[in-house]
Amino acid sequence: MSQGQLRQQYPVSDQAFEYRVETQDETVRVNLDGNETELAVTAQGAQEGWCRTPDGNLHSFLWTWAGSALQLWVDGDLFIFEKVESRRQATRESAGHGNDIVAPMPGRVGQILVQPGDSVERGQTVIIMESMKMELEIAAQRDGVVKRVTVEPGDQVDKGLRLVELEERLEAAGPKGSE
Amino acid sequence: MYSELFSKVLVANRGEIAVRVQQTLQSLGIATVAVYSDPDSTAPHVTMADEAWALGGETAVETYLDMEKVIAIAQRCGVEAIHPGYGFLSEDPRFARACGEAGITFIGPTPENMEALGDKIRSKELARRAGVPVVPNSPPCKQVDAAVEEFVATWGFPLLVKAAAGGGGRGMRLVGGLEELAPALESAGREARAAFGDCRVFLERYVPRPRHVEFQVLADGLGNTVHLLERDCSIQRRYQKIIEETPSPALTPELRRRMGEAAVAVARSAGYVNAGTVEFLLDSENSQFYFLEMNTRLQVEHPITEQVLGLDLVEWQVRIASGEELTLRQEEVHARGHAVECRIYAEDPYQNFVPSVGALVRWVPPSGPGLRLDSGVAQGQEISTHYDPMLAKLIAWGPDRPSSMRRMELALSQFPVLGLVTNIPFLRQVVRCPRFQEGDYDTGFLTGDSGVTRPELSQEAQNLAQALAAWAAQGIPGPGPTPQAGPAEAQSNPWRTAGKLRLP
Repeated sequence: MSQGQLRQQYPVSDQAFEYRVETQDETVRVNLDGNETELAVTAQGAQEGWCRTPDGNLHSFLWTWAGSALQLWVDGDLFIFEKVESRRQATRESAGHGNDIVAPMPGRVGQILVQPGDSVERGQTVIIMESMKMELEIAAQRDGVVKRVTVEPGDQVDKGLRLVELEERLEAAGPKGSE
Repeated sequence: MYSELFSKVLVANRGEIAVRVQQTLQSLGIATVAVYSDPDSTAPHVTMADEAWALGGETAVETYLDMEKVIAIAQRCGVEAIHPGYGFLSEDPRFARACGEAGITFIGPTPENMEALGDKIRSKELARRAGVPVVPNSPPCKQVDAAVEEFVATWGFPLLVKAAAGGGGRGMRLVGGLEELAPALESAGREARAAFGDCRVFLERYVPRPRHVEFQVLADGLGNTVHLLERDCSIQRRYQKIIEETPSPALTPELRRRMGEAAVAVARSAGYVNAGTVEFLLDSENSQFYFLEMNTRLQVEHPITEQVLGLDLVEWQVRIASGEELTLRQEEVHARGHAVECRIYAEDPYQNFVPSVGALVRWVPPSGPGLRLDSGVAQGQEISTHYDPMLAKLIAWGPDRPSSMRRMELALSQFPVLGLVTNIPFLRQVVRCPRFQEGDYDTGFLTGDSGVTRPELSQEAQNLAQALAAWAAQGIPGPGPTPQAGPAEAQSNPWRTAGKLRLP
C-alpha cells in the first residue's frame, strides 16, 4: 500500500487531495479523499500503460516525471500533478503569489505600460512581451497598486519571472479588513 | 535514382516545411542541403539532410533570415537551386533576386511577381484590373490623416487595420470606433515593423463574418496556368488559421468555377510563375467573393490539396523551376474525397494560448488509413521561443467529409504529447462541435457564438486522471530536503515496486 498527497496543476489547478493505493493481484484500488475506485492496470514499456475502469472501458495512458511534477496523458488530455509533502505546503502553494505579475513564458520585455504608484484593474494590460514573433499582452490578475516594476524594456526573461509587484489598494483594504 | 531536374538543392528553412520539402527532393533523387541555427542543430530537418550547414546564431534574424549567409553556403556546397519553404525569405524579392545573381535557381515565383503581389495594396490594384472584385481599402497611412478620415466617412466602423507587407494576421487590428483607431495604427505599425521590417499599414472595409476560401494555382511561365481547387481556412484564432479543409462546405460547383476562374485571372495578369495561392473573402450571406491577396509561396495548408488531388505540389514547384512544362490541364483537376488539416501548436488552450516551451519528452503521433503528419519535431527535442510555435500538421483524408472528420477526431484523441502543452484538446473540441460538423462556420466561429473557447474536460476524465496519478505516484519521494535523490526515471517506474498487474 502507498499513500500521500497530490495536487492537480493542469489543466485546472486544484486543492491537494489524499490518495491511498492498494494493489491486490490484478486489481488496483485507489482511494481519493475517501472515494474508492477500482482499476485494472497493465503497463506497456516503462512509462505507458492501459487501464480498465469499472464501466468496462479501456484507457491508454502515458506519464513522465519532472522533479516532483507528474505529467500524465490519458484519453487525449494532458494532466499535471505535483506530489506534495505536507498539508502546509498544499495550502500555501494553492494560495498563489497574488502580488506578482509574472512572465507566462520566456521572451523579451517590450513596452511597460505602468509605473510605481499606478492603480491597475484586473485584466488591465501592464506589459507587452514579445515571444515567438508575437506580441503578448500581460494583464494584472487582480485590482491593485503597482509597488514596483522589476524589469526594463529589452530584458530577456524566463517563464515565471516577476515583472511587476502589486500591493493592495488602500481604500480597498479597509472594508475588507472589517468584514 | 538519377534526376534530370537538379542534382542538389538547398532548403532555406526549418521545421516541418524543411522536412516536407526535403522528402520530395530526396524522392526525386535530388541531394538536399539543410541549414540550421544553433538551437536547431539536431532537429529533424538537419538529421534527414544529405548535407547540413550551420548558420551560426540563435535568432531568426541571425540565421534563417540572413540571406547573405544562406547564399554563401549555397555557393560553397554547389547547389543548383534553393527552395525557400514558407515564411522567412520565401516572399522576399531581394532574396529571389540575389539567388539569380549568384547563378542559383530560386524555386518559386519571380522577384517581380513577389513585388507586385507581396504588397497588399498593389496586389489589390492588380486584381481590380483583372476584373476580380476586391474589398475597398485606403492608401497607406501612419496616423489619422485626411485620407483616413475620408475612408472612415465612406465606410464607417468597424474596419480593419492591416500591414501592407502583412501575413499570418500580424500587424492586423479590428477597430470598432474612432477612439481605437490611432492606438491600433500605432501598434499594428510596430508589430509590422518587428515582423516584416516594413511599418506601412492601411485600412480595409470590414466584411463581417466572412469565410476565408483560397485557391491553389500553378503556372509554368510558358502560358499554362491552372487552379487546383480551394481550401477553406475559416477556422481561425486571432487571424491565425488553425483548421483547413477541402472541398469547402460553402461552395456550390458554380461558385467554385467562378472563383477558380478569378484566381487564374489574377495569376495570369500578374504573369505568375510557380505555385501560389489566391485568397478570397466569401460573404456567407450572399455568396459574394472578394480578392484578398495572393500568397507567392507554398502555403502551410498545401497538404490537403495534395491529399484530394493525389499530387505533390513541391514536386511541381521543382519541375516548373527547372523549366519543365506544366502538363496538368484544368479539366483533369478533380478532387477525390475530402481532407482536413489541424495545426498543432505548442500553446496552452487553457491559458489564453500562451506559447509553451520545454523538452518534448514524449511525442507519439497517431497513424492509420488516410492520416498524414507533416512534422518538424522529434521526441526529446527542446522547443524554444525563437521561432513559430507550430510543431506539426495533422492531415486526415476520407472518401467524404464525415469520414475525414471522424478520422481527425480519433487521431486527435490518440496523439500523446508529454513535456509540452499543446492545443490538441482544443482542436478536438472544434472538430467535435456540431456547427463545425455541419460546415456552418465563418472566420468569427471561434470568437463568436460557437461556444468553443477552451477544451471541455468531463468529471470522469478528471477522476480517472487523479486515480492514475495516484497509481503512478507510488514509491515516488516527495520534494524533500534532498531533491537530487537520483535520476527521475530510475525512481519513477512503478513496476519496480507495484508488483504484478494484469488485465482481466
